[in-house]
Amino acid sequence: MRETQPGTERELRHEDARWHVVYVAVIVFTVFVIAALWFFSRRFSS
Amino acid sequence: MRLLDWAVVVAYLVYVIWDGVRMTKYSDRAEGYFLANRSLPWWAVGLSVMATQLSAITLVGTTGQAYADGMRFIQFYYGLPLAMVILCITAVPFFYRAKVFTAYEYLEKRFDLKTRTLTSFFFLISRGLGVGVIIAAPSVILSIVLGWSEVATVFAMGLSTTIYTMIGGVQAVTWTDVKQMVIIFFGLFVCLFIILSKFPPEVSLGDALHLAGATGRLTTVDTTFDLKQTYTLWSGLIGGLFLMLAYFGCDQSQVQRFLTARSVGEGRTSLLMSAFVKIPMQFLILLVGVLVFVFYQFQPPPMIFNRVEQTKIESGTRAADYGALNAEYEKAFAARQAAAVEYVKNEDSDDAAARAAARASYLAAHEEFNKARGRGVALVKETSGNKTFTDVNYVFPTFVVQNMPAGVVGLIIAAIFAAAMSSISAELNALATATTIDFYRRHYKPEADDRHYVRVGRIATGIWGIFACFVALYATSLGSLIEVVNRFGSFFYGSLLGVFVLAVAVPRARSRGAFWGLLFGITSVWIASRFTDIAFLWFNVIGCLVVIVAGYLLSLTVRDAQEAR
Repeated sequence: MRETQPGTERELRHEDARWHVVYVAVIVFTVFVIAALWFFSRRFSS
Repeated sequence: MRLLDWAVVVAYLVYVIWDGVRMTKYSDRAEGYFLANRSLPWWAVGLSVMATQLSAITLVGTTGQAYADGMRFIQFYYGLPLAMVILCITAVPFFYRAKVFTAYEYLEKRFDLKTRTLTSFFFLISRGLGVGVIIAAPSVILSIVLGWSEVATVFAMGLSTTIYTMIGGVQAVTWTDVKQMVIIFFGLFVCLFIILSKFPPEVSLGDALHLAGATGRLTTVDTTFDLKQTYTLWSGLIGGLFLMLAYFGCDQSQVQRFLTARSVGEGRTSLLMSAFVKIPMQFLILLVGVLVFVFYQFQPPPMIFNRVEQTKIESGTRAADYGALNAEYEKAFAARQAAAVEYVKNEDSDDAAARAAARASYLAAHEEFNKARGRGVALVKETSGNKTFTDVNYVFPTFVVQNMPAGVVGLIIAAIFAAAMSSISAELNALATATTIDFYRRHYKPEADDRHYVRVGRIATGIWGIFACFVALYATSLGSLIEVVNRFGSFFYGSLLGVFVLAVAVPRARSRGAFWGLLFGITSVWIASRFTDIAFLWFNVIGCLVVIVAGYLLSLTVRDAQEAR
């Protein structure tokens, strides 16, 4: 039990870290999409 | 509609009902009927999340809005991805591990029974009426554009969805949502390609976008900070964030979607699918509306898209006035068409002065055209006595019926049906779940077996389905339909979100604070909507903040007594 507990915690931390990468990717993608839409708007409105 | 179109629509309806009815796996147990035994894959849940949010009003109303006003509506969704990330961190693991059937169940554990009952009651009221509007909107439009009976359209849409939702439960809802999303995407792409093929040969996609852009229809980011403007970057990022947090995190129709996922990870992935896909998908829908606008630069659009109002006025006492206005309108169209052709011709020219002159000439002709149409609309408002008359919701269906080939008309009508039915089924299933779990099981019969609750769930689905059809029959003149549904939600959503924030993030919050804070929040939103011009997206922020502040302050007054207990 004492041996598995830290391993489980490490796994959970690793899992959390993976999800944090995904969340950052979502935010970056959203900023990219909004910027692309803004450029699209500027490109065809001028 | 031609025979082939009818065949497509009927085939779609028969297939969806058959497909939904056969999805009865696990549906003899409460967890199976309401939560699919938490066994569904992320992609099916993700498509179901998107299908639930995308109603027929979104499909028809936003294409019409893009035609009339451009793409600024897309800003409404800018807060969605961040909301999904926040919910993946908080709500998904939280609700999933709590093993609850409804989001409101948790509030009893955290606060008390009356807070759970009040929030669930507000959900039932707002969504019970909301689902009526979801059925009414496309029914009214299709009945006017296609000449169908309004009652028949309401019942065809409402009852067919009720049947498969009643029998199959959440399994039927999710798997039919998946197929309905495929039909919607397919219909949109077919529509897009056919519109492009109908442009004059000398007009490319780039030219079309320049024409739309010149009239301001491609505005996707408006950085103006004005609380009275509905769609700006800030209302989307802040107001939209609060609305999406409340909708996806506190509305049972969405919470129930991710509760059916196989694991917390699959629930998270299903929400993140929307975070990635929603804005591009909405862009596609709005692009269709913008391209319909460009199509009507070269083909004459009707002065009034609502055929019933047009016929009424043409056969009434003001027919001569209408005829004169229509003649002016046709002349204005011809002038704009010529100016548009000239604009496109000069677009690639190296002569900057010629380009600027062609653009100015086109914009002046467009302005005159708008004025001519405005006079026609004003005459309809005057003769019908309906001061809020608008025909933007009729633009897309009218365009489809008048310009699409046989078979494709049926496909688009089936896509509109699919969008409506995917939302209706999820709402009915959520309404039945809240009725059964939060009211029947909690207040009336807590010790019955699973089969009994499934039976009650089926009966509740049937009753809510019939109720929604009758609400739909009375909800036929509500102005701009897309905003009606969103406004409806905004009255409750922000305040509901406030209660959940109190529950999860404010340890000092107590039941009295949550209960009265919720009532304060809803009252404050009502005051804001009644006595100010603040745009409805901000209501979510107001409601949420008022509940948190009022709930916290009230909680301080009862802290000692509760701690002693």
